Amino acid sequence: MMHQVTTLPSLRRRVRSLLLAAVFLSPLLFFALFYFYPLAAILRLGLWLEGRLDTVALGELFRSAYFLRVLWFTVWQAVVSTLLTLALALPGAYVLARYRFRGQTLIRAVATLPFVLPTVVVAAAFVALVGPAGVLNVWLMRLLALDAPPIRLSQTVWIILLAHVFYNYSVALRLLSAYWQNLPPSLSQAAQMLGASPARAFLTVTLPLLRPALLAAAALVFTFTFTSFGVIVVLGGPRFATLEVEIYRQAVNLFNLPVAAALSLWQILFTFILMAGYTRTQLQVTRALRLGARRSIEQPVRTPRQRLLVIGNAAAILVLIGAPLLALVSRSLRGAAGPTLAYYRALFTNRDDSLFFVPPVVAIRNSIAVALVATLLAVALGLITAQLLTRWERGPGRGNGGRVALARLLDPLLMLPLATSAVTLGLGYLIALGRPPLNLRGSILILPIAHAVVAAPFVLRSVLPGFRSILPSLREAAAVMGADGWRVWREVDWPLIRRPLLVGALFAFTISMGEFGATIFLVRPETPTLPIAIYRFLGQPGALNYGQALAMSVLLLLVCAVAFVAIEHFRVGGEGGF
Amino acid sequence: MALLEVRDVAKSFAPGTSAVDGVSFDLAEDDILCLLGPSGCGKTTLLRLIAGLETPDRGRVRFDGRDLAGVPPHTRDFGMMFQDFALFPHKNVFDNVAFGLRMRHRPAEEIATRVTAMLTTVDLAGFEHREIGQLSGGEQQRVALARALAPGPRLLMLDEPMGALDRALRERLMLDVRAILKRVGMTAVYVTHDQAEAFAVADHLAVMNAGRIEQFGRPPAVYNHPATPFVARFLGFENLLPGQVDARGLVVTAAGRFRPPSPARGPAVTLLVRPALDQAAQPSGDDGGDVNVIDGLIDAVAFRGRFCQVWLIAGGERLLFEVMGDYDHGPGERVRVPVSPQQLQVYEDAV
Repeated sequence: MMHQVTTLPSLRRRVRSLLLAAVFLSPLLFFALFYFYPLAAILRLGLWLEGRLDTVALGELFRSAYFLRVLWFTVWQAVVSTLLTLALALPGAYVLARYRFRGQTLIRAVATLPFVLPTVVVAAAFVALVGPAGVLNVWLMRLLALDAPPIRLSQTVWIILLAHVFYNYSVALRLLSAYWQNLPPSLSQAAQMLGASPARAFLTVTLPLLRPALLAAAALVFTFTFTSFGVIVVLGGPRFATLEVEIYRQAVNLFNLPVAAALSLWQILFTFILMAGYTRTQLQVTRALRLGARRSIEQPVRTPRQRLLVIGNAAAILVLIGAPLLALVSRSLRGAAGPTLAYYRALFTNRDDSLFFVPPVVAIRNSIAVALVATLLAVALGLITAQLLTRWERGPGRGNGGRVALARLLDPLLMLPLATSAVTLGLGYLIALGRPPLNLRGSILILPIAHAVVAAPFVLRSVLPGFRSILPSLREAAAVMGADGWRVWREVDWPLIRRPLLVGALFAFTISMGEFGATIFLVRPETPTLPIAIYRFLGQPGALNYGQALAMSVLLLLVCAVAFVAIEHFRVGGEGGF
Repeated sequence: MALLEVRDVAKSFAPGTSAVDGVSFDLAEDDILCLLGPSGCGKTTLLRLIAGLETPDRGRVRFDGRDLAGVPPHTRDFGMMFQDFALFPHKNVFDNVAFGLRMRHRPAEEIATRVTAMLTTVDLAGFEHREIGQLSGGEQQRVALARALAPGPRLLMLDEPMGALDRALRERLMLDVRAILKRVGMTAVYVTHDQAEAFAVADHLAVMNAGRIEQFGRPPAVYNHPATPFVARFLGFENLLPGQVDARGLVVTAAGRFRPPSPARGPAVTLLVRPALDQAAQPSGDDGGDVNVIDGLIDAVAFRGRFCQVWLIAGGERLLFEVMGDYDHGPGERVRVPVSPQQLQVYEDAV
């Protein structure tokens, strides 16, 4: 009797701790298998020749004019996109940081929306606005009685830059305005009282003080545009190739995997350097934001000049962000004979001349199914990792300081997928997961797994602050009052992380719905997702294909907009960014 | 002739309200004027109107005979010290102090000498290469003062320059600030909500309330003869009793009847009773023994060191008195407190 009473609980405890360890280790195993292993496969293919380390091929690239051309285009379009974005976002950030006016919340929301939009939707929106059959050209042709579209931006670098500015404006605006809000206006006024003209005060005082935010925004926008893929393949046509596009071409069109792997290695190196740079600047920004006491320094709009400034910027934001999206919606509802729902109806039919074996509506169904599974996976991964990290960070009480060090190492390691381009991930899967020992090439699960790897860092970033905010004393208090382990989690942890978790899940869902770069490597022709279908339809001639692509883009846009509203609603504490 | 003339200046930020409501005053050269008042009284707005950081809705600001309308702040040749000091965090002490001189394109040697001289003036010699983040609050305040003074402005404006400092530091620094301003011979407008600070620094005081100047004068005159109940209350006088003037010219209040030093005009008045209480003085009992005597119950006594605070309840009014040294009575006792006519001041209520 006595014997049993003592061993049974201890056995149960041992089983329980083993289970717990298995749960905690599962995300590490997942990342090892589905992130590090594919990356290692690229490394192996790019660096390993006939069983030896061989960096010749890697260096060889730099002697080929073609590679240098790709690299040059990648860099200069990213530099120009970054400069344009910052130049446009700076006045907007000033207005949002310094003035209080009606409709400010709306402007802020509109300006943030592009951040959650899939690249294919952005590309489709610009096609609908300034493409040959786009709203502007249709109008101008009718207005001026022209035979040919007057705006010929399609397949030029201009439309690429425009789309990049559209896409990144919100990121730059958010970063800059949040930082600017913390600069006391008295600094610029003090400069003026000391004899500096307003322009001089801006150059000598405000601009240098904005430097950390400018650098962080520049680093982020540069990284995004450096790894731009969807925008370039849809809008640029065959003439333009960034490194990212070239990896895809080499791997999928030419099936030259070793070259793709070599390109990919450079891409990995560049993006890691860029992300490291961004993380450093971002650190400075958050430190400054935390230091600056939040005070309300926004002032109402008073003079006519201020009114002009505010209205001008608000209009610029609305036009920049609103015009392409409105064009997309209106163009999808308009056929040759006027308003029509034909494009939406056609989504349900399977045409003989279609390049798909299935009606497009199947793509919608696929996308939702993939996104749901990917969200579940990403949430589980993010949740378990966040719990693990916070436990280890609070380490020394149990075990040793080694765990704290481990947590400090693990945290940035788990953020690496954020710094890995989607195309690199896709290529890695193509190389590593398409053959034994782990052949998932035919499996339907490969897409949600890839999406979960991309989305999990967002979930982690979202819930980690929540977990960190739970003081151990809260759990202890609950335990002292008689709650057991599960009950403590239910009563203390869960209510505090519920909202961040929901935000993370919404992020994961929208990311998966819109994922393009990795998907295009892995998708099978008979089970396309929505972004892939949009891309394929946009590439085909004919008004119906065009219209269907736009109609699908609108549906995707709606899903993302709803998710975006929900994210803004549930986000704790307003700020926060990536 | 006045150096600075402010005439009927008004400023409103929202319809139906006014931050500054028709203010006029003159300031002579080398004079320090304190704008004193509670928060929201318009004193900072008035300062910013003079500085040119705000534009008045109406009225004129003239300096040295020149109308300042339309003159932007950076060409006014005024200096300003901000409440948060507004030191440029990306520049060190030297570059902060040198900023105004550089804007005036002074030669480098002159800037170097001038900065050193200014830092010596504020007792911070040798601080040139410190970063702003390394300075204490008091040191930052001195750097801000040196920076404002360095270009040799014709008028210096100080907006709550002690607001960010703790009490003890403030006590010491306000005397230093006055000494420095006097040493360099500066005309200054100084905004504060702290009356002790205003008394210590000012040559002239302007007590402000709801966008208007309630009283303008030298500090002792303002303290000894607050012009309105608001000024009296703001300067810390608590015993303000509503009353009526009777046929004999006595002020009748709930706490008793009082004969002011000069005949009062009524009918409705507010009576200020200054808190001095002389234990040695006996109630004289003129006019039947109940004029200029407060018959009350001691509510509380607080020993404050050099004096005692005594709260008295008389006719439902709670009155505060101060007694030098210790007080002989305790809470719950009834006492008769004599009041001299010099302790009294009468304000006619607006009809």
